[in-house]
Amino acid sequence: MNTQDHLDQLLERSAPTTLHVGDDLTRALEQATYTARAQVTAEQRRARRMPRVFAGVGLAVLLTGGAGAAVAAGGFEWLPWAQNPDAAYVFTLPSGRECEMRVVVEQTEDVGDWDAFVTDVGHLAVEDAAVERWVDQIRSDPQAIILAVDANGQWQDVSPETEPSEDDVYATARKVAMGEAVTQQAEEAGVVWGYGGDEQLQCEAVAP
Amino acid sequence: MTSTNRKSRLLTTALRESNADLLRFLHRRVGSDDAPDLFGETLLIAWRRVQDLPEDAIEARMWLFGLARGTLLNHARGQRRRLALVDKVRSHMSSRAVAPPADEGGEVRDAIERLKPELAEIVQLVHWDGFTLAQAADIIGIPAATARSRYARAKDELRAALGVTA
Repeated sequence: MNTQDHLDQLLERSAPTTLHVGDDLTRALEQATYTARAQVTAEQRRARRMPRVFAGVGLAVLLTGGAGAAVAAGGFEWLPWAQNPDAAYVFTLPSGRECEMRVVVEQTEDVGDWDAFVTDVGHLAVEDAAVERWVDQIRSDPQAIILAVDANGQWQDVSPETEPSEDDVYATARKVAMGEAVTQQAEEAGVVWGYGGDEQLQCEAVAP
Repeated sequence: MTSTNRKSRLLTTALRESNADLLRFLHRRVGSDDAPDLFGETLLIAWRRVQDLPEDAIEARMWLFGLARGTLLNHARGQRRRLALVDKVRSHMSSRAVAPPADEGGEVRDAIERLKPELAEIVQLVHWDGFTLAQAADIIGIPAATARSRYARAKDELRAALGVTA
């Protein structure tokens, strides 16, 4: 071994630490990548226009509007990409808990009338009839995937041994109805194959 | 497909292939506390500048490391902020994910630290991160000849400091 090689070996062994990137961290990195993209998209959109907020038909209007506004009774803290949503939907669960769902859409393919779609999503209203239809469907389907609202107001999968509450059923129905309404607008604007998006849902925290 | 959409897809692919290495790169410089935030900053800058992303995959990777290096420079200037977008990254970077450094490397790390920053940087890029000198030059944004010269000077000084004779 010559002295040059020895120095190289010393240098290579001197790296401060080795970070193991396992499956969980890999997923977290990919999620951060997506979140960063959505956040930047929202920043750029904010520069072009005012954010739109709305409340569902027949529901308490609690939104204050405005960029990054903490709304509803929970004073929610939103993920960065959800701070300036394309749409926000406030609703009340049977127990009286207030919830808010925020949606951000992004263009993935240049098809259809994107501007019209974004405008329509911004003025979207979720009909109570659609919510009730989904409640019936969820109740009649033993395989239905139901999300549970925990005491902190966050959403989790319902474990098989847990009986979903009325709040869980209604929250899931409202979420699905909102997604359905967005998809309908996408179809009407011709962008159904050219958009993606994400949503965040939060409800008031309650004493466990 | 529009240019923006094409660039976005390229960046998604480039990040998927490089994000673990970017995090390791930052982690080696600033440790577990700050690496997630600098990684988040790198992501945000990359998406804001997506139109500048090189088409070539290798060049795109070097471009990303160049952005990460920029966040390190800002960090060194004291610019820090906590980013929510990397909360999960932070939570998964537990102490279990980090192997302790080899004890024998302490003296060498000290010697590298005593080099001028521009000399230390080229040594770290080559020996800690596995880049070639040409790639390191790309990341730093200097001519390859300058990188070679810095590297040679750095190794001369390290030989002297560590008592490894040429």
